[in-house]
Amino acid sequence: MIRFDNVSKTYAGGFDALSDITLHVAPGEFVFLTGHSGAGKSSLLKLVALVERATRGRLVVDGRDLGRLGRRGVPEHRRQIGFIFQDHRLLMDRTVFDNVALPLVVAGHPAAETARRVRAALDKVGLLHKERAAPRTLSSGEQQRVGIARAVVNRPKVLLADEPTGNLDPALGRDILQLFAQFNAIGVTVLIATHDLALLEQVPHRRVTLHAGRVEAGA
Amino acid sequence: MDGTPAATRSARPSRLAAWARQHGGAWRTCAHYFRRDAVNALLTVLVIGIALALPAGLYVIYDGTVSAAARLNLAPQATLFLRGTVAAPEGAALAARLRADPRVAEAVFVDRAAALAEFKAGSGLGAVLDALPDNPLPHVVTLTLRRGSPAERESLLSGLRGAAEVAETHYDLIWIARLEAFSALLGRGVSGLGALLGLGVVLIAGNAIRVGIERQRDEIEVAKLCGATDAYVRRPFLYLGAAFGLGSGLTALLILALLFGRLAGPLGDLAGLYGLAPGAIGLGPGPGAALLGLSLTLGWLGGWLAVSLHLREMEPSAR
Ligand SMILES: Nc1ncnc2c1ncn2[C@@H]1O[C@H](COP(=O)(O)OP(=O)(O)O)[C@@H](O)[C@H]1O
Ligand SMILES: [Mg+2]
Repeated sequence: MIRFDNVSKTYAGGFDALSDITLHVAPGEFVFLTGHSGAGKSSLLKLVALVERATRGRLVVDGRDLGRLGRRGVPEHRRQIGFIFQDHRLLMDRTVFDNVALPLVVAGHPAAETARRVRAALDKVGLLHKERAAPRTLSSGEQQRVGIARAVVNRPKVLLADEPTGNLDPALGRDILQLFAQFNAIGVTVLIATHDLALLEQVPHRRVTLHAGRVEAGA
Repeated sequence: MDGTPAATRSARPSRLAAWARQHGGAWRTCAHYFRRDAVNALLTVLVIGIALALPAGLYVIYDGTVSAAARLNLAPQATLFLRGTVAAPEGAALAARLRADPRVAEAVFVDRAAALAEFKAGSGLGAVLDALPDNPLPHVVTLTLRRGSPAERESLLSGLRGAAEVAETHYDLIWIARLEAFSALLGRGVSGLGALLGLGVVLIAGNAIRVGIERQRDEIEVAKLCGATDAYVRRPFLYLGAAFGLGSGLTALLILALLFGRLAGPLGDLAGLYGLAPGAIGLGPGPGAALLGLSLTLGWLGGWLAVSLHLREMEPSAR
């Protein structure tokens, strides 16, 4: 589903955030991406979501060679991917419903279908009763779950999460992990970047460790 | 995620329906942006409105001057005093020749004897004039010229000054020339100022929208991460620019209506002094609609400019 072949990422300024990454993630797999802060975890996820482009090497996601994808192809690619951020990046002046609806709205789905799918996603994360609420009024665990609902509302084949439990206490972190496991159980490929070791201890999934921009273990 | 994974994702939404929904959504987003910063938005509209009212007002004055000049029937007049050696038939022949000239509307030969008789009757100086040994008046041809260009008139008159029969020409053009120079100047002023302020409108609207984009940066980045196209992001700002433009055009029309409403009395008096019926003063429906169309386009252009310059640097980074 995700295939890195000798991929490198050099940021403007000449810093090599990722060097010669070769990594395959099979469809339906659940992978933890670990490593110290600055190891390149976020950069790797950004390459998959085409937030950044690889400097060298070949990156294929769901059969699409991202190096060959032009600027116009980027939105369509992102619609196939759900991205979850540590700081959730909710729009604070919109309701929970509108936040979750955003991926469907930008893709131009009909209102009725959008409403149905948004409620299904909110139901999945246990926040159906909060659809009219302002994100500000929610707890941080709830905010993160709204972020997850937004990431899955488009039914992506791939879920990427960057430190999704970074701001949460362990019990809430476990709940979030449970959610990812449920999506994985219905076939979604899940890639979670985290340095939350307590989280990693709980589940037996594959672990890929980055160190200074290189794959150290788990490739 | 309701149930099944991506493998069974529903068919793509129909293109036309999606297009219509996206435009409706863009208007809602546009309204959201407007409300979020309503005071600045209204100020922008007011500033652009005033900037537009200036050349539009000048245009009204220009248009009024030109049409008043046309209605005044200001045909330029010239008088040719003929030499003493010229006999009456020669003078009449000269007038006939001039009537055939396309630049001349009318040419009348005035016999010196007839002129003297008329002068005697009109002036009450009959006895004094009888005492003179000779008729002191020359034969005269009075000319009414067609309103051509000043250069055409000048070439005609300089030709006449050199003519053998003509002793002297007297030419009463100066205030026509002034009026024409004045309206030409106004015309230039209108187009020059209009172009300059049109550019100003694009920049003011563009800048207001740039500020709006900065304020919406978060929202734009998140939307792009969720798969929004550039067109999706651009659309509400184009609408916002068009709304700025249209609102400003309406503001300008309102300013002009108030201004020329106040001027209607004095301008009517002025028209009366020149023997003209006081015409309606203000921007007619045609130019008014043109002003609205133009302001809308300029605002839209400002929005387009602002978004185009910013969209590329708006690529989100997943922090
Ligand atoms: N946009 C950027 N420009 C320059 N350097 C960057 C940028 N983003 C990340 N980096 C650098 O790349 C390295 C890897 O960062 P990141 O991928 O965020 O690591 P992690 O998520 O594992 O902490 C860091 O040293 C960071 O400073
Ligand atoms: Mg990181």
